Amino acid sequence: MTNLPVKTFLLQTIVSFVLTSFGILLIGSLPYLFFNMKGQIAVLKLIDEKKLNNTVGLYDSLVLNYKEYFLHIAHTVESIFSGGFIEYYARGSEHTLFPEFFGIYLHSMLYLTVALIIGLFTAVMLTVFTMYLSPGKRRIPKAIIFLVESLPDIFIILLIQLLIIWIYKKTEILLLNITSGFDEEAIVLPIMVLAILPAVYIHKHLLLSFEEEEKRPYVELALGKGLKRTTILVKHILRNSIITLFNHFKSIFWFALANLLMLEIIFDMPGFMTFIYENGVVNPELLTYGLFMVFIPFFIFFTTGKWILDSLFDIGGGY
Amino acid sequence: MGNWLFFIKRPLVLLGIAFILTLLLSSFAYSPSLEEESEPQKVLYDENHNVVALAPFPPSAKFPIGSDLDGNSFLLKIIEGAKYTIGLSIVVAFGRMLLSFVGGIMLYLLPGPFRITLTGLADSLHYAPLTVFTYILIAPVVVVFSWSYDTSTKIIYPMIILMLVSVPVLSIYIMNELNAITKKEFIASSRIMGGGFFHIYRKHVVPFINPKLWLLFVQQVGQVLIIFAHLGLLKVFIGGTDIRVIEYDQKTGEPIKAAFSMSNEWAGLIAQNFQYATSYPWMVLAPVSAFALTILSINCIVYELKNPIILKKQRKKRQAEKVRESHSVTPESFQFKG
Repeated sequence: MTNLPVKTFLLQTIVSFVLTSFGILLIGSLPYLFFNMKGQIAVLKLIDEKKLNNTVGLYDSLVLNYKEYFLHIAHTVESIFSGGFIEYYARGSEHTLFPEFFGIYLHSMLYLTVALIIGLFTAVMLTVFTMYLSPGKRRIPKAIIFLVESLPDIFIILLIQLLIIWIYKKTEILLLNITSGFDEEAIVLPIMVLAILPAVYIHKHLLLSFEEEEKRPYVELALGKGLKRTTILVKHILRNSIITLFNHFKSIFWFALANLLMLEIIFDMPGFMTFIYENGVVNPELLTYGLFMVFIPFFIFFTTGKWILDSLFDIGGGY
Repeated sequence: MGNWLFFIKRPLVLLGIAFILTLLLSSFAYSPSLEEESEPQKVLYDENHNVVALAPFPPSAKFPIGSDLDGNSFLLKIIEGAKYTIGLSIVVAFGRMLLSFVGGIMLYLLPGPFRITLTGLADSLHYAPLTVFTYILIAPVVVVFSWSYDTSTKIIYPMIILMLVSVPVLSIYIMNELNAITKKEFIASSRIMGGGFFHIYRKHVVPFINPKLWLLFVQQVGQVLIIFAHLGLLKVFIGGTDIRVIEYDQKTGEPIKAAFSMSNEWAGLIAQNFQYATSYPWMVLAPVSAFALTILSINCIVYELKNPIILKKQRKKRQAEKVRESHSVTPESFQFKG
């Protein structure tokens, strides 16, 4: 830690944390800026209670409600600090948010984390394997990566689902539970599907970074000294590629989160993202809470990771 | 001649553009002939007038990618919807670029602290999956409170939201590009010699930033298409409307044809048919594949614009080999003299 004093690092961390939190608050309350949310929700409640069955006469236009917007931000902040008693409106009645939402959240995040870890390991193995090929033959795995990452995620998820159904119809063997039933839950398949796309992304970035590292003189020296290729790849090149990978981690995580929503919908398994999707329109503060619940652990992980990597590799000092 | 070579050297770009153009042209050519088309058949008979199959028909020679519940060919539906889907995504991407360009220049001109603050605020967008965020802003108009807003609002407002959601991130990207370019030495020299902002921009920045902006634009078309597909899965599509509203209007006898005019838009096809995904897979697979192929061809264009001159290098190598051959010494190189 020669180059970056602790104080600067802490200050930077705090500033970026505060700014992002503020940004999340601004995002989450946006519907209150554009719509007359209170009036609309009141009408929706009347419809749900079957007191109103004709909405022909009702008309509303888009607005810019600064007052309501900032009031709602203040209200959200207040409810965050007030602790667990937060209510949301769904299906005609108010529900308490917290034990339920937190359970769903833990469940989905577990899926996501396990999938990311599996994806990471697969990607590292695949990359090391690809590096054994001659540069000419690496074109084939590269073409496959390009193809998979160019296709939209819903296409790939849908294709996997249909493939499993097709195999089931042909052979009567249900490889894995496709959708969650009443008592049994599909676990293995969603995690595997969720792992595929991050694995492809990580593989792509790792391969680029590996090929970059491969040209460096230290690799030649190590080869000249008679070190095994595996040792060089796993011990030295991988270690030097971690920083590059870590810098891409944010976008990979973001991408996996977006995949999670598509996965939950296509495989019909209710989870964190579908909960926000189903209830977030009427209760925009759900988006704010959800974003904070994703952002805070991720931020802690990312900052400590950066801290550790910085001190381990002494960035700025070495090059 | 130069432009010509540009495409020949980049076959993937050519392929991508050809695919999208074919789709668009056939879409525009097909629509006028729509009126003459015969009524779709819900039931297929053989020669003896026995029922062979009921709609939706699986993929066959007559229906290359299957048919919908009314017996309409999906291939024709996809071709008809192409102009709306691709057209809208180009419009949205163009709007994004325009707004972000202005935003990027404004950010670039702002003093440092403002820039850092705005960049930090925009960072929060990285934690919101764009699809969910867009959905929460669009759904009140299109789905949840759909009784309140008229059709034009239902079409224009989602487009504007789709444009605005990416503006912060794109503006920052453009600002960073501008920063990187203006740090070069020749910009400093130009400034010293008295070049104003617009002069420097026009003469020195444009040649560097224009290719990047074009690339960004093509990328954005792909991004918008992905969001369209995602939103379709969430049962939101531009130009469409909720089923509930349709019922109300049928009660009062008011037809809402405007909402249906784009019903062959691909995202709408996904939304309408997703419930049949497991029983009649082609009904969802067809629009999703249409999205996938279009996005793939856009990514082909982007990929080759980013990593160019692969063929050129090979040609150079070949030329180098030729040169070596001509200089190599063979028995014929020597001659006996006297």
